Amino acid sequence: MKLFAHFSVNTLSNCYLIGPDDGGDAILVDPTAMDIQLLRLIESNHYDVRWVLITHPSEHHIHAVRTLLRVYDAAIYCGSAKIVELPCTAVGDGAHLSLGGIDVNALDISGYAGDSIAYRIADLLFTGERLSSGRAGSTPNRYALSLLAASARERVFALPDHTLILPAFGPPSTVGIERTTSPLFTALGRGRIAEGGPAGGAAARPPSDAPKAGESPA
Amino acid sequence: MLSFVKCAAAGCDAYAVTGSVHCFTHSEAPGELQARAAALLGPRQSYARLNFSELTLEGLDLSESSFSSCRFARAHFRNVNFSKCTLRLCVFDFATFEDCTLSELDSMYTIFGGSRIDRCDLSNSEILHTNLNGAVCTDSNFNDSNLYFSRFVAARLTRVTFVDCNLKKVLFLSAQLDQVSFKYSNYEEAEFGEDPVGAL
Repeated sequence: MKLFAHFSVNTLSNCYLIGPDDGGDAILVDPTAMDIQLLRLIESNHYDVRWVLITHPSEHHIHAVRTLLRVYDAAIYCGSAKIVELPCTAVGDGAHLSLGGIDVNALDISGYAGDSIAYRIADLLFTGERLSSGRAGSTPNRYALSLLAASARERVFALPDHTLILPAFGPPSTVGIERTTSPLFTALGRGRIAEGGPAGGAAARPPSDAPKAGESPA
Repeated sequence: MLSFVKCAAAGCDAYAVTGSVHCFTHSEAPGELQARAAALLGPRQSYARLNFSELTLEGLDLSESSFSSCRFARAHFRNVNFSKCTLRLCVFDFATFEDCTLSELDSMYTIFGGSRIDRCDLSNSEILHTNLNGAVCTDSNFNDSNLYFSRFVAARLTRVTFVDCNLKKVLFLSAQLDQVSFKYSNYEEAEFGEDPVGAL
């Protein structure tokens, strides 16, 4: 299995391409702009995009998916039954997909937004907008943030340290790094994010060497 | 494109080192493994899907080489020359770099999070979309580099210089900065302080 990351300069977001070693049917995660670089990446690796996984049904995906469907005969998977007017196959928490021999597990890591889904493929976790490297995704309110924190602690930070986190925005990370730097984990222990939600448990302990607030540059 | 071959030792979840069926911890001949890795690596080469996690590599010249989807997690590099190297989707988490040259580096989608970087030269580099969260960096320089979209969240930087760098969309949230210079850099376009999400 091969993994490629593509950065869209239009939307400043990441899109990921996963496929077999020697080309063939491939999976695209979170396309937001179907630009020439992405097309070249797909074609130069002899891939045929058959499945598109969307982590959050946002209108940002509409243009890319529309264009993509003119080029490839792909099935769209998402946390809801449609993205704006485009029909999708809805996948919920715990769903298992076998796409061209690649096992995909869907999990809700947001704790509050039922249509936001992360996808786990082997030791890769596509977290979309909900969890980025060293930073949580934006939430509508403080309660949603506490739900996200509790859910991330239970479902993401419990994964093996070497699990690769591949977010929609920002660089990739690993669970091991996030456990020591993510505010969802470290701040939780300091009580900066209220504990809450169905996944709530005991507060996390901050690492003993947790850094203090940063200083502004001189 | 990363290798997902697991260690053959019962119950071990780590990845097997390239050229072995075991991870470094379970290898019966770790010295031999390191020697083989050192022999394989060299300048002006192209490498993909290597896993040399936890190995110690010393005094190597890897200049102008290209690494794609390679793992060097918890590896130790001493006096290694990475100048003009290209890194794509490589994982160096919790690695240590001592007295290494990483100048004119071309890095994208690469992870240096949690790593220790001492007395290293990362000048004149393109370090884009690169994760340096939680890194402990001392007596090193990133001068004249483009760090667009890279992150230093919760990093500890001591006597590190970012002279004339592009810091657009670079995050230094919760970072500890001691004797860090941003002279001639656009630090106004970077983010400092605590993460506003955590501050809610």
